[in-house]
Amino acid sequence: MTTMLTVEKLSKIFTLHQQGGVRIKALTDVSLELSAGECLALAGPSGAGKSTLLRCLYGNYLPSGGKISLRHLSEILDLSAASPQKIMEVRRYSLGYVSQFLRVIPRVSALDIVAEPLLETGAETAEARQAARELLNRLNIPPRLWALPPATFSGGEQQRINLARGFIRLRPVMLLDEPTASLDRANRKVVRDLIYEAKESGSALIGIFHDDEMRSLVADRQFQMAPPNGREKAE
Amino acid sequence: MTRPILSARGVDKYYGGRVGCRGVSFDLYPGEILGLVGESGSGKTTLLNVLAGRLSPSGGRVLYRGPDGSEHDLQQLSEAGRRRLLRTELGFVHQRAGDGLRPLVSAGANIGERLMAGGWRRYGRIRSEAADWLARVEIPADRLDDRPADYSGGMRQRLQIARNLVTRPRLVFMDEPTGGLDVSVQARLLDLIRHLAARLDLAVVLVTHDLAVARLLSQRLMVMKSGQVVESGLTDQVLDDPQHPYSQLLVSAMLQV
Repeated sequence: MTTMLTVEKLSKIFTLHQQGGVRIKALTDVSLELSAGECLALAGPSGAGKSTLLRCLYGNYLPSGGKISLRHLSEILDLSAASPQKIMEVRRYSLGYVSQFLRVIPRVSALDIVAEPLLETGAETAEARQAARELLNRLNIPPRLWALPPATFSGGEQQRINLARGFIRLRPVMLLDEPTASLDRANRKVVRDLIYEAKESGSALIGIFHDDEMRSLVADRQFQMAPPNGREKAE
Repeated sequence: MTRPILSARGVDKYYGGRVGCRGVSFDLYPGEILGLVGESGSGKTTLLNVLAGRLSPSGGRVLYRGPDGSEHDLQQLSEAGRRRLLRTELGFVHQRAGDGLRPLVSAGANIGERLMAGGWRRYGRIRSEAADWLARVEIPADRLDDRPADYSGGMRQRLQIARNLVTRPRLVFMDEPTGGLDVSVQARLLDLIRHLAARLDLAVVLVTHDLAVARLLSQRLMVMKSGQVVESGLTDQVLDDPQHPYSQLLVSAMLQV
């Protein structure tokens, strides 16, 4: 199997300058490998650094040490040393992030929020909107909501809008941050199918799943994480 | 790899002994929106004015690269050459719309003036292009002959944006474009800027003290303090994992973005 992502001795320490320079260890020496077509579940108690790891992989948090190598187009890229321009390109083509938290954009309709990732890579508007409609339909968002900006939607609806936005364009590596949390049974099944389809198309996935049933259905392997030894005071 | 549309190298600006900005270097690529954030007095607007050729730097260089790949040092250009660029390929959106508009001529003439500076001559075409741009910034067509002085604040700001974009510039400088507008007016303007920048593939240098505005519009951020850039990076990285003590202070002081 093609290796899509390699993480070597990744560490992350937050230094809180506003709190007298307290240093919080969030990740220590995390190493893992991910191949095309597989789904790896991050396991471990709250505070073990699962979300922090996903955010480091997405370029959202800056790693304090270690190396992240990602297959991007035809090269292997050291993400930890990539320029912002490169990371934007990587996110456009090679790396997706699916979470339940929708950042609402004033005045933009649900349909266009979902279609946007397709438009970013050059799809025609009509084609992107059609794909968005199909996905919103699958996720049981009623058509009367499609033309409205999601600011006034319920929490569950906003969550599903964001899932649609995350899944509309499968990227070779997909990071899933609790994609099924608080979904009802019918929608959990839809997300399960979306994950199956992503694996089948060759995407490599890393996910956090609090729902045990979902984890055992979609994950091929587990990666156990434990909280690093807490805080240390700066010198 | 595409080449930068704007490059700053070691840009300094002193006002007598006082620092406006110091040692600023960066590259901006076509189609990219770069946010400049920091509190009042941090040097954001000084830097913006130097980048746009409106102030001359005390040291360092600013290079603009034209569509044909030619490089222009805005300070080395003749006054006429700089004005021509500022009216065609570059734009500047002021915080106070009045600073970027002629208050006593009609909205249509405000937009048309830039077209005429770019060589347009036929009145009918200029007028229809102006009307088209009014529509794009969501100003009713029947306001074409009104003067900006008779517009509301939000409409005036949208008109200023239309006046800037009508010549299809490649790079636009914006100084707090939503400052001083109330929240609902601000949301409309932000959406418009976001939409037009994407549609026209504009590169933008955006000065704002509002991190929520920066989060919404810009892909990259530079945080300024006392005239210097203390941190730069992807917008979501700088806002979610700020490294410098001052950036952490700014982010922690923000209400919610």
